[in-house]
Amino acid sequence: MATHGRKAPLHNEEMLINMGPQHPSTHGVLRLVLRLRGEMIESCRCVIGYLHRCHEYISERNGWIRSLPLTDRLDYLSPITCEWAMALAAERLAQVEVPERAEWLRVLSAELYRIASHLVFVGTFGNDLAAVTMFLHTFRERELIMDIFEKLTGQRMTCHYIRVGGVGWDLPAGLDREIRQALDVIESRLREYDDLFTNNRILRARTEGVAEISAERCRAYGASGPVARASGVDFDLRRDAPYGVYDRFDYRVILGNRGDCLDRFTCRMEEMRQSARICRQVLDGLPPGEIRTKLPARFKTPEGVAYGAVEGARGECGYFAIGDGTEAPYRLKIRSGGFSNLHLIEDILVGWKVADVVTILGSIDIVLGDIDR
Amino acid sequence: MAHVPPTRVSDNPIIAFFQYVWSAAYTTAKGLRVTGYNAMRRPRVTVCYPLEQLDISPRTRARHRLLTDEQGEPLCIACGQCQRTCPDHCVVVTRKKVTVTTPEGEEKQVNRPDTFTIDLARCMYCNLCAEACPVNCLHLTREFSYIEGDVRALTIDLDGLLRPEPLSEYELRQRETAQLAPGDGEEG
Amino acid sequence: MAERGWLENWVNGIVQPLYEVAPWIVHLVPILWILILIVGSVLILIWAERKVSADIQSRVGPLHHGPYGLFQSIWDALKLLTKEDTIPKQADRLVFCVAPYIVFLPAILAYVVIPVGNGLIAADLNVGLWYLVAVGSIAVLGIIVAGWASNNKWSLLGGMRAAAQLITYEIPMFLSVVVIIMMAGTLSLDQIVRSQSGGSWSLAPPDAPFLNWNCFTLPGMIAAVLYLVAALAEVNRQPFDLPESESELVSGFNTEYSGMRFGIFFVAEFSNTALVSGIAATLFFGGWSSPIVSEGEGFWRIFGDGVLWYFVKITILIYCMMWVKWTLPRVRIDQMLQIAWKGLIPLALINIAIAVAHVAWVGA
Ligand code: SF4
Ligand code: SF4
Repeated sequence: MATHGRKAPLHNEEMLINMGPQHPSTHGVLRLVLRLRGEMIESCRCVIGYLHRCHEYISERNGWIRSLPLTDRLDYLSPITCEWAMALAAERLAQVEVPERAEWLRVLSAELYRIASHLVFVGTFGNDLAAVTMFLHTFRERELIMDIFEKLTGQRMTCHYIRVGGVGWDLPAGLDREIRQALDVIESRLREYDDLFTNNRILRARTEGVAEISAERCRAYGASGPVARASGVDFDLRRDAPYGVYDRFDYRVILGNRGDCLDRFTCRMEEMRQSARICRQVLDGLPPGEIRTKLPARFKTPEGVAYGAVEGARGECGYFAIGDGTEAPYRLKIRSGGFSNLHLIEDILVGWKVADVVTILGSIDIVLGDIDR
Repeated sequence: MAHVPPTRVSDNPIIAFFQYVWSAAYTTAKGLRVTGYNAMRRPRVTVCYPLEQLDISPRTRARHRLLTDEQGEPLCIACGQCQRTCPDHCVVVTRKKVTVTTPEGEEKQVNRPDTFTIDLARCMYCNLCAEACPVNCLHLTREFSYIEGDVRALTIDLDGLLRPEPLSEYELRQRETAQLAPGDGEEG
Repeated sequence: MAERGWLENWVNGIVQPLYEVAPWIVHLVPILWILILIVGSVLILIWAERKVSADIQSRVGPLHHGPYGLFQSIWDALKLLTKEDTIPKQADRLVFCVAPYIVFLPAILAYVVIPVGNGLIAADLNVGLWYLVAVGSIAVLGIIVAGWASNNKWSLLGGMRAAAQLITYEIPMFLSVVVIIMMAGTLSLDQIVRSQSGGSWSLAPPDAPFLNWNCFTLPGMIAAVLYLVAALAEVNRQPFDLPESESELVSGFNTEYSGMRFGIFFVAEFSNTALVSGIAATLFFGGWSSPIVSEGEGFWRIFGDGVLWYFVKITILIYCMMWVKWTLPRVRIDQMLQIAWKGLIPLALINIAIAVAHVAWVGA
């Protein structure tokens, strides 16, 4: 562009804009400091920590059993993930046997909540792109799963279902039929979403080729979960570092190959179908038996280190614990998938437009409770 | 199929132009069909909450309740397990000794709670206290709605804890339709 | 020329005696008529928008005020009136306060030339269509200054988007209107409606074997589609609601507005929606002309030409706009401009060529 006289050229004007912490599309209290040139993003810095609740320290003080319910508050869209990771760390440290039936129930609950979490993703992604109807439709379907959890655990979101050494409650009578029905409904509605949203020309235009992430960059940032898999990183803890009884089920790990927003979206759509498949297999083959190992009144972990990691809805959720022979871990470190995934956007946002910020951020699917802990 | 093939368009710009127009029109029509179909779908999912209430699960965890024996005495032996387990430190139990008469007619000294308060404002309804109780007398009921103007009023004491769970609107309605007298079948 | 409809006669019956008492009253009637039309339609439209979106989203929608929640919008208006009206400290006060009314203005002005019923037109200008186009562009000014005067970065982005969008979409909108001018041979909206009236679904005479609405000719049909797409952009409705784009720009140009000023923006959006569907109905779907009988006997008189059909048509059009709004995601700013420059404008130009052929061969 030509410059006029000695005046600074117009296109050099930059605007510094704070997206968040109060903004409808930052999925909680995330702050993005954007440097804009017109609507183009020059650079981006993300500021986190508005939701920091010292979870690690509280756990070191409270002990294993008493901090387990708090894990529900981390990744509140898929609480089972963090519960399972923490229980897994404790079990590995203290070598607690988990009954067979409990393992199967854990898989069932985790996969159901994976569907619920991905439904929220699909809905909020639609909401970010102003397809508000998608948002309410997916929440309608999520409600089916919430109802199941209410019947199973008594609580919809903060369910406190997985305990050290098993699960809290057994399946009530008749719930398996209800779960099957809910899965049928959700699968039929997924086809509706495809018609309404996935195949829509505008959605394609908004997401195709937007913010492609290469597999190398994903590895460099330690990204995991659907974000990495959409870029072609063939990594799924359920298959690659089996925990629980995941090795007994038949499912596919979904991979994308371009790593753009559309791939990240469709990866999750497809993962929901795979999760439904796993749920059906669990219901078909649920073994009878105990659901919980009796722990000593004061459950103590021996000295040593353990790492319990599960494949959550937003990537690898890991609890690294050092035991010192007391009721509480000496040190607890949490690795959440969202944290690593989020920081990809400082790189990938550059060069895209303001309107794409919400698409890209939405496609990464963050939960600030999980990131700030 | 996670990997959706990229939208293919012809190399010829004129043909590509009409392909774009067609795909936009076609997918919009498909979307309109879905929303139109949903507009017809009955019944509605949402209900008008305070007027209309859905059933809540029997396992729902809300306000606590202490179970009593036939004489109306709390079964609690004031052992303090619940107080020790609570992650939020919202249970406070103090102990007193009382003399009870067993069915066999002997007089016996037992521990009973003198005061027992639970701060519902701090409680997160995790069920750990109920699970820790050795005599299974602490329960979380389904009474989830207790609104107070002052947060301190949310601390319930022994009286509040002994109060049985009122029937929910849903149950009242069920009872009306089943022609049952309200009041029977109450349980913690 | 068709006789006046029953409602027009009824209105005239009231106005006539008044006119004899005070001749100036006749000037008040159109103003009153327009205000009633706008306020009434907006209140109903806000309610309808909620009910339609609730329907599509498996919700119930407003229920409690009036039958089916019909009076909800009145309560909303009351709520907005009682809200604190905040003006940002650094804002340009005067412009900030005036902006909502500028956005609202074209709706009032434009209704002046829209024939709502047979003879029910405030002023039958012989350049009605030009007037409409000219007046319609005022709204963008209001949106730009609202974004600018708020002194908020999000609002500014919204205002700038509005400028790009509204100026761009004016072109395909007008190019599609040109086709109608060519076919009708007049700029007067009343004449345009009259040129379309007379036909009916039944193949029987009086004068036309079939509906002779503009949308049943090839160029008219294409023009109608183009006009409606451009109109969606013109009134900032999804998928083109970029100036507001709630999920990106917080609330776009009206981020800083509160209370009744915000309410005016809201009212303006809906009255503009009603306006563009009114224009579409007038230009392409025969305005107040009836598709069943042009002047019926007895009971069928109700379904003859008249106000009823105008409202039926805009109701259908507005429902379609809402339906589309709650279905489609939002496009990005560059894509939106592409749609206009690479899609609608070429199509509109092709369409003009088709219209030339149509006029030459079929006759105006
Ligand atoms: S439910 Fe949990 S938080 Fe509430 S009183 Fe019992 S142990 Fe404490
Ligand atoms: S654990 Fe049970 S018996 Fe012990 S104090 Fe608590 S309620 Fe009473």
